[in-house]
Amino acid sequence: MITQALEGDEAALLVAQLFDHYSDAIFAYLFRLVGNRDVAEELAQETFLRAHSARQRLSQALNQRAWLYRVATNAAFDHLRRGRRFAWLPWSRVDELHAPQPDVAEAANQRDALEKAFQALPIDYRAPLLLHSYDGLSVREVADALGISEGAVKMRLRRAREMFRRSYNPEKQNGGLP
Amino acid sequence: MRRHTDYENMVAAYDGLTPAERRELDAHLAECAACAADLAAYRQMDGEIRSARALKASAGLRVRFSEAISGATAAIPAAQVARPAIHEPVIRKPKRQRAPWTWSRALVPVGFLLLFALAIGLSLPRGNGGRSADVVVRPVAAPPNQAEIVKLRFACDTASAFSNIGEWSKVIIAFEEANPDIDVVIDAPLTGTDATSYQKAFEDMAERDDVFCAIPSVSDWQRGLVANLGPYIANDPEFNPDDFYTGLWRPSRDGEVLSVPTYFRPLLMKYNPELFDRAGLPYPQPGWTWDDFLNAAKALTVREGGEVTQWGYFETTAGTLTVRLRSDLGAGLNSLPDYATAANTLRWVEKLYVDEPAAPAEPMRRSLADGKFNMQPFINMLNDGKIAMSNIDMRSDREESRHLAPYPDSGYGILSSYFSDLVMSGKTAHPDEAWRLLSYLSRHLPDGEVPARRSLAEKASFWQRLDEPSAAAYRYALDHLSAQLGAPLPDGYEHYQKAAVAVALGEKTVEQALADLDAQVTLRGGRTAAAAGVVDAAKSAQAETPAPAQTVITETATATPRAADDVATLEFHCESLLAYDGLYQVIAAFESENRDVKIHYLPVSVPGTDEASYQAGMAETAKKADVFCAMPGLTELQRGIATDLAPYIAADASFQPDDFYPGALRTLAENGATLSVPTYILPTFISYDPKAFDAAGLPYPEPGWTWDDFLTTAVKLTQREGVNVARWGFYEMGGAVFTGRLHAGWSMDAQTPPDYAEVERILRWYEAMYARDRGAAIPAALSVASGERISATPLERLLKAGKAAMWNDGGANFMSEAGAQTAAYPEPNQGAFFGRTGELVMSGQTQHPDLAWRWISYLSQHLPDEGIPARRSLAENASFWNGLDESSKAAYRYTLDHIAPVNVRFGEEYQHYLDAVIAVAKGEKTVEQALADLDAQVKLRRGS
Repeated sequence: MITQALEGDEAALLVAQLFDHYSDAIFAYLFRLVGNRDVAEELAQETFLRAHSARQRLSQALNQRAWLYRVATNAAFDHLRRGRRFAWLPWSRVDELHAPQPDVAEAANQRDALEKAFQALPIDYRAPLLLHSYDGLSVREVADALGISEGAVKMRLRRAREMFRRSYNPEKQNGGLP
Repeated sequence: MRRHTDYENMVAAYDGLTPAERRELDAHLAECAACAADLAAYRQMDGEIRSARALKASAGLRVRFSEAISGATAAIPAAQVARPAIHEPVIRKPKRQRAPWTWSRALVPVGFLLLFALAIGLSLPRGNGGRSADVVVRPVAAPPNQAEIVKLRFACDTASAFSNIGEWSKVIIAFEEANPDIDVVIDAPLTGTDATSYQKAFEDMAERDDVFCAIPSVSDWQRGLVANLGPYIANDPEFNPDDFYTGLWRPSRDGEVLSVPTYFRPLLMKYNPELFDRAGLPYPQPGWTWDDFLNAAKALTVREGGEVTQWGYFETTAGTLTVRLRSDLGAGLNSLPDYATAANTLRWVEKLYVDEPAAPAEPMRRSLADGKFNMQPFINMLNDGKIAMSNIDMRSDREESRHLAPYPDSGYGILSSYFSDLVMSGKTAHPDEAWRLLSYLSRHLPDGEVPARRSLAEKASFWQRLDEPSAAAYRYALDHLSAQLGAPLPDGYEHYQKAAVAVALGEKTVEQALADLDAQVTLRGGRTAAAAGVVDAAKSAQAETPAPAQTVITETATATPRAADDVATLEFHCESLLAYDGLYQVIAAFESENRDVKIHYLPVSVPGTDEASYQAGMAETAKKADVFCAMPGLTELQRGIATDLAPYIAADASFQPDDFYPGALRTLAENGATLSVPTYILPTFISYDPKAFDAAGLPYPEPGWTWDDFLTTAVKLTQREGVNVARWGFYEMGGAVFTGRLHAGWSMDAQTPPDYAEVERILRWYEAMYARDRGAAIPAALSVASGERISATPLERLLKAGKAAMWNDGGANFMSEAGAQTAAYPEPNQGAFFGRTGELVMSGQTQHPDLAWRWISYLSQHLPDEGIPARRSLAENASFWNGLDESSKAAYRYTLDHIAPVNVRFGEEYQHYLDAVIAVAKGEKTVEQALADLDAQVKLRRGS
């Protein structure tokens, strides 16, 4: 059936290529934004589904990577606004004990200092820092991905770095000026 | 000309700059050691960031995505479970390739094909990618006999939940090789997040798939959704149901076998042995009691000044409570406790959660209400070794500081959580083949979680991941699993559970909860038995609405349900409110109160860097958003980009425009239209260092002080060392205060410029302040604007060096820790020239103007408690007051009461006035020259 999806549809093939190249990176970015593997996967899927549905336009986009990150960012913010950083279990139809453990266990497992430092950043600073320093996007690409100006990207990066420096390595915090 | 701050920002983005920007920055770095040091630090930071874990999506993502696009229903998110029941097949495992399908695999042969085409000098026609991919998936040789092959569909959330769908694919391939007459298609599993969506997903899978994973009930069997596996098991010598751990094999009361378990997790708790050692307590041992647990939790809870700094127990759900309550039900789990036992248990709950709590109840409250809970403080405590016992993994720097232990002896064995079971659809057309698949999967589960079969568990790899105490706890658990897992709970149990929750949350006393419970159910050996009718009524009411104890849920559940097509979605675009964390809760609260509206929030700003592009940006935004944040003008009203909100305000009794601070509700004088509603305001203040005033023997600035007071004070506070200034009386980077004196000459509506005499007074003030007596430095922003090269020392650095006695940092509070205080603007003023954030505009093109207004009105009345709300009623109780000293509070109060109309538009002639004062301040013109020039330009008004 994949053959049907791709047959005669170069744009669909492009989406498939983008999926192969970027699905892990997009997932990792989303995971660090929303802090939950299942949600990140859902959002990653949504990102690529949107890419697929907009594939004709996407194939003409100058920077498909930035396009994907923008869609992913919007999907993440859209999710976060619901305030469901943790998918709390409802008292389910069967028995709450039968459901998997809540996602917070996964959050608790993020023991290494880097992940904690990421999570300590407010989302609108975390996103540009991840895109720039982890995913290697240019200022222009980050601006495109986040829908903000290039000047705002630089400013947020500086503040994000200051916050990251404090949270990642507290003993180095001197409270003084850079 | 760039400010130094610009360079600092550029350094933070060095690797992402354009080549031209980088060249420019490199030149600056050669001269600026501080920036060079920052760059080195950032480089190191980036190296560390890039060393973060490489996270990979599970194979399930690939499966779901390919499923969705092959269904030709492109944009269906996985979360939407209510999709059509019948889907086209998704993945045909490439039998002859013996490996799970991946996009990469699909594309590699495309590459070969391209290479081949190039090699033979052919140009590949456009659109051929699909055909090349076709070659991959289609079997190379024709199947032996299509007519004999049975196609089965299989979907399993357990398989996809643990990133091992690839391993499951291998098992299925092996099954197909052993059963050449069966071809298995792997479907993406459907899941639900609540009872309704779960049931829908269940029914869809029963329609679609022959074998799938779920937890069926007898009613599912009675409705024909699942098959009774008993007869198949009886005829399958390989299956061996005795191989399953006790309790995991769960036939129904009447003996039907509706499902076959896959994996499970015995319910164990974690503890931090270091804290037990420190407290001199024995570790939790198998067979310990609930009182042992309570005593340990109490002893391990540490308070300092009324605040808990170490919790004895912490969990994310009501899991412990559940285990505790089950232990009252007896080994058969078939009857409620007697009155005394229930009373004893409820008191235990009260002691644990309420009376000097040893466990926080807030996570439970949130888990019940499906609400947001800030877990981070508890995560930090877990990581810092400040939680003694928990139901979630404890991770700290030292792996050995966490052990597993069974929960206190419950009398019926260890409970377990288990994953979805394998079930056969009651609607399958190929039950024999489906059973063969199900049986095979059950006996060949991929290694990963703890398998429900002993034979698989004994050789599973999970043992290798456990330390010795944890492995011992596991062994104990596997040997003592409850025989009653999944057994139906006694009637009325839910009331018992809710009574305990109400006590835990402090919503009922033990006595109240017991009295209510006693009226609802018949406790074993009951003290009073409620009439059967009452019990039945309570039960049916229970089915409709949750118990009163769950306040939040009750409100949600009893709101009028509406059909999906009655719900409108409002697009809300506003970047400036993104920083306010509470916005999400406000949206959620609004949606729960207004079930006919959903807010789709995008944290994006109106694009545009100058007036023309900003106007174009507003026009574009108005096409997409129903409500957005912007600063529209009359033009936007006339062009249908913004809506006049005045009629909505007039018709909305809740809105109360008088509640806004004077001038905060932006009103256009021309026609009385209201183009936007403010959320927060940012009044401008002057900050000062009281120590400098004390040393100079000067009184602190008082609300109502004048511009001349300001001038005199600034001059006196300025200290010189020769021709250099050691400390400025007043310093600002921007120009808010600088222009403040000029604006003070205008009428309060900014429409009437000062007359000749006032202009002269204004110019002389600038001459004295900036050119002659030099109480203040020319704002750097003005110098930069005029193209001068200046020493753009960041204000905060200058302040740290003690080089200003008064300053304006735009509310940045650079010196908040150094005892700086806040002063109001001098009088007269044009109000404090405050900025606004999140000015709400209704698009002129919205299809839902009434709903859009409802959202604007609601948001303006329910702002998160951050910053200074534009409404007096919100501001009066806002937390921003808490951080202010008395003199600063006085300055705030004065300023908020004296805000002039915000719509300060000085007209086209204003620039001439500004040019004149800048020229005088810089000493480029005398007052007389500037007056004459200005008079020629704007024809100054001659006063009395």
